Amino acid sequence: MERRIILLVEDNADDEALTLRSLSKSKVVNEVVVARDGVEALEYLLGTGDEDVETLGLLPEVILLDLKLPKIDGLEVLRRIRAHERTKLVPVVVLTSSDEEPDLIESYRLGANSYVRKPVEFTRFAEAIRHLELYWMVLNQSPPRKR
Amino acid sequence: MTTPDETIEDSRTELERLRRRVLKGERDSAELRNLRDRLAKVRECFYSLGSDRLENIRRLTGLLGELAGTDDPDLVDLVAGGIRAEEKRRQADESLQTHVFGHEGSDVKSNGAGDCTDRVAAEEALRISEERYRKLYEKSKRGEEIYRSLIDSSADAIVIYDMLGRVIHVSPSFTEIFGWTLEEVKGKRIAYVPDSERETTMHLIEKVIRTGVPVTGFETKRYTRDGRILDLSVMASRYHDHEDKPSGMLVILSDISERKLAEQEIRRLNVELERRVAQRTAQLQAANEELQAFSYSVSHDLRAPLRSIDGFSQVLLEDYSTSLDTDGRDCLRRVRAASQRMAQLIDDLLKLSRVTRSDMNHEKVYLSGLVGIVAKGLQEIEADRKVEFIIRPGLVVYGDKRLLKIAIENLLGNAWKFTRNREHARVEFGFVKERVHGKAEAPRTVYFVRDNGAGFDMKYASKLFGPFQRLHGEKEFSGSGIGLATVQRIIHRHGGAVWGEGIVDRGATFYFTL
Repeated sequence: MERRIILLVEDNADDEALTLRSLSKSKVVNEVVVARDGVEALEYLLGTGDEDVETLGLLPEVILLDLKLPKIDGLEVLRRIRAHERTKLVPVVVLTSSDEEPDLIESYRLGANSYVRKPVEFTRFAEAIRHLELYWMVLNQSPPRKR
Repeated sequence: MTTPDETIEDSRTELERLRRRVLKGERDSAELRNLRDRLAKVRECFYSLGSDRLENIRRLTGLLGELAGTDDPDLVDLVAGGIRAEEKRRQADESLQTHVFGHEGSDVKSNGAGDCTDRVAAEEALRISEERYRKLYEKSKRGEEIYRSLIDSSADAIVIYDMLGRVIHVSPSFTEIFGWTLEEVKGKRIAYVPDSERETTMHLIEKVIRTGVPVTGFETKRYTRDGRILDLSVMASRYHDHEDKPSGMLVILSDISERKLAEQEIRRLNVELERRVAQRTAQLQAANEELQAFSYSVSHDLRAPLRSIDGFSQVLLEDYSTSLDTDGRDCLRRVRAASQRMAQLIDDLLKLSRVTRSDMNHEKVYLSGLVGIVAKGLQEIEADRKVEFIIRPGLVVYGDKRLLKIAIENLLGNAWKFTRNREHARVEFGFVKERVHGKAEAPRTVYFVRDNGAGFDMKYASKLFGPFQRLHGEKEFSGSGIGLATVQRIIHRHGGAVWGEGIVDRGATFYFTL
């Protein structure tokens, strides 16, 4: 069976732990790659620019992207993902604490496929993560890959 | 040989022709001489006329009068000269008569009978001529007096120049404003144009003199005799002599120094005001940006730790429940409840700040319809509750639809919430007309939302609109106390007022204006 990857871009260790916990509790078994800031996320997806694109890691089925990130913030990561030929079609779900209107507008403007506000209540949070996993990893058809 | 009548008729025709040329301004000195000769001839004839001469005299004097009416000073002179000549002749005749009657006796008298008739006619002509001339003179004199009194009583300085820019006349106000007397400047140029104004002034004079089109409101500066500089508004026009030839310039100078000072002051105040507005705007913008950044940070950063608190409490409950006794599990539940409540407070606070921060978009809002939609929404959420809504139809206001909806949601939401224990719950929306105390204006419209719910003690009415202020226990009625604070901010942003009236256990009414 082909490897299917979720890329979680999250700088908060607690949120990372809670997200991973919620994912592993679900029935679906997927590989989760965690990037802890914007730079890490872009390096995983696009490399540092020196290497051959072919040698880069597998593209994820979906990217769960936090907005408030160190170094390069989530919106900028999104912008670069959409600007690059390799990643422009990869589904991106913005997963963040804020529901500030500018964040929503900017995310969708830059081509986010979905925007989910992290609930504070853990049971609801876990539920949201499970829904996301089910939807993006099972129901959704990913764009065709080149390789 | 021509008869005197024919001579007069000829002269008349000739004079008429001359008169027309005079009126057209085509007269020259040769023609004037010609005219003078003609008149002399006419006068000659005048004395050799027969018995019907009186009529002829009338015609002649009428002609003279017409000529005088041309206002041509030379002609007037000519006519006057003629009259003076007549006068002399008359005097000469009279002295002769006196002489004749006094010394020569009856034979002279009998010979002079014809002459006597002549004289009567001449005298008549003379009298008419004199009368016309006198009237004309008086008329022109009156005219001149009017002009002089206008010039002399003008508050603005008036200067009359000839074509060479030499002063013909200055008004007393000119002396008052600038210091030079008429005697000092008459026939001279006034050296009062500052260098800075020379070019524009010369340009103006050249234009007025060349085109004859008056210039008004030309703003410039002039020196006074004692060296001060005045700001002036100048009106300049060309004036013409009797032949319509440009003969000088009339200049009216209004002292606008005070106005200029006032203008400068206004400009200074405007600059100052603009500076202050800019400063305030910058401050406000900075404050707004700070608030924005603060809200953003609250939205992102304050919730994350709460998620951790709640999340890991839940992890403990799930994974380690066997290691915890009932009290331990209860503690964790309390931790979780508190973190969730705090998350709710943060969200409410953010909502409130958004009401303040959002842009206003004024439009016509069908308030009755809005109330209906919100009421329907409440009923859909809690279908098992029976609440009677009485909504006054047709109320239309002008405001921000989105914000007004939030206000209505809060007011109706409260009414819905606080009528929970009523068997027959009733919520009413309507308006009353209220005359503002001590004001003659039309009574203002006051909208209200009334319920027959839990009500409140008017003692605490002042606390109704403070954020997080609650008049009911959490157990009794849930809520964070942000609703009415939100309503107040929305109403205030519309320039309105909001207040509440309540009786414990009888219900509450919230009034607002827009």
